[in-house]
Amino acid sequence: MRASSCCLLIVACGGEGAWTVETWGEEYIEQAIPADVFADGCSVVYDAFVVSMAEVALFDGDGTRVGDLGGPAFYDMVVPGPTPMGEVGVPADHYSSVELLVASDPGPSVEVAGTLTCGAGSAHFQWAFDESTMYGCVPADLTIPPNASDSTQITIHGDHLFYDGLENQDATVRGAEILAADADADGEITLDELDAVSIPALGYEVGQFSDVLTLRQFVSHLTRTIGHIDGEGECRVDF
Amino acid sequence: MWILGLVAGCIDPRLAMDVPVVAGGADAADLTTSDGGTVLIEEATVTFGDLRLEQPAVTVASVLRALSPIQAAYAHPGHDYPGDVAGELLGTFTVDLLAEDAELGDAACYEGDYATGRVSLAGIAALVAGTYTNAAGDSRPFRFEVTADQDIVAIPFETTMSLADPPEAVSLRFDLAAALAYVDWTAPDTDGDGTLTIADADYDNTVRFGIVATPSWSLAVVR
Repeated sequence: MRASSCCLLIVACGGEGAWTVETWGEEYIEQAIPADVFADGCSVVYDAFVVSMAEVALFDGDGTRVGDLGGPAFYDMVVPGPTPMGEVGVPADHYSSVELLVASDPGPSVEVAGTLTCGAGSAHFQWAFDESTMYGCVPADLTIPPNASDSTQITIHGDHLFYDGLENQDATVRGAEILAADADADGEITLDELDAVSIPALGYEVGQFSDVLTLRQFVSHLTRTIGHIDGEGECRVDF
Repeated sequence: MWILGLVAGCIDPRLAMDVPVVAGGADAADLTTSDGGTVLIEEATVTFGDLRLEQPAVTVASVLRALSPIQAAYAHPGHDYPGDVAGELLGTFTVDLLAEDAELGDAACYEGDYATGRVSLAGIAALVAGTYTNAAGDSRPFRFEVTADQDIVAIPFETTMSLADPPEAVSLRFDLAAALAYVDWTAPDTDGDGTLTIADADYDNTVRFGIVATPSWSLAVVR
């Protein structure tokens, strides 16, 4: 209610302010996903985590786009951040709708590389994904005053690629099954090797996405859940 | 005062109705497997609880929405964004999938649009037993007792209910053939007891995958 009252005051005043946007991959991408995050004691260090952000836009309460950051840009989340994405002038108001488009044109939408370690075993991976995803995000309290600014952070969650469920809220982060996918034991887990692993046999749960039948499809689907807002803020994805 | 009541969420202006819920399952007791074999189903039940029917999810955030006492539920890591519950039938139900449709009771439903439904699984969610016969004619009995503790979410239920044209019933069905489609029937009887169970090979995972997969469940209105 506090924010809404503030909004009414601002609308009465009119004017323009600045919407500033940054992005951050948090410690999980910049440094490591430690073993205590994984249910099976594995850990991950990313070498690269590049996200193609084709569009970041702000909408008012009527669904009208009031500002966006312009064309596509690539961000490697392993670079220490938060990284500024841009700033745009918008009408002073209280906002509750931000859209993020992660798209594959040009290049992959998400490309990751790193090392997965489980106990004494470890393997490298380098995966590129082409799926485009529109995230509809609801900032908790984005109020842009006249002649001043407020900010939004596009937060990327690097642990999501290792979840063992697509819909169940008690899904855990696991690595052993992905490490075991390195069928030729050459120390490199390829997408083709992930594609050879059956999800039904693995016991991972897919909920409504029963067309996800291989580990490659599973991880690919998870790349479409990495976008968040202002840390832990959830974004809606229409798959 | 009425307006104040609306703002406070104390008065819901929608009209409510009771809608019978019926449930059933497979039309045929014989299934053909991907390896050319057949499965004769001799026993099949599913057990679930608390059917909830949900309105379309709010998709456009607005300043007005910030005033609402109702907030969208956001799942993590899954992205399950149901609308508000507008109809429900609470309780625990076991449905014989080989029998005639069973009437579970009356769901209390509001008038309006619906988009999805969900049921809860807790404990033994499914019991399926019968005989698998491969293409060469060799037969093995099976008995799968699958436990689960989770919700089956986002079951499609796009319909509108109104007192002016009330549905005869809401039908909840479980597609046993779809649920068993992921089973590798050639996997071995690991413990050698002569019956395929979830203790053997990957049967626990492959049977469970189909049982908890949303597309195995369906909802529809009967008019």
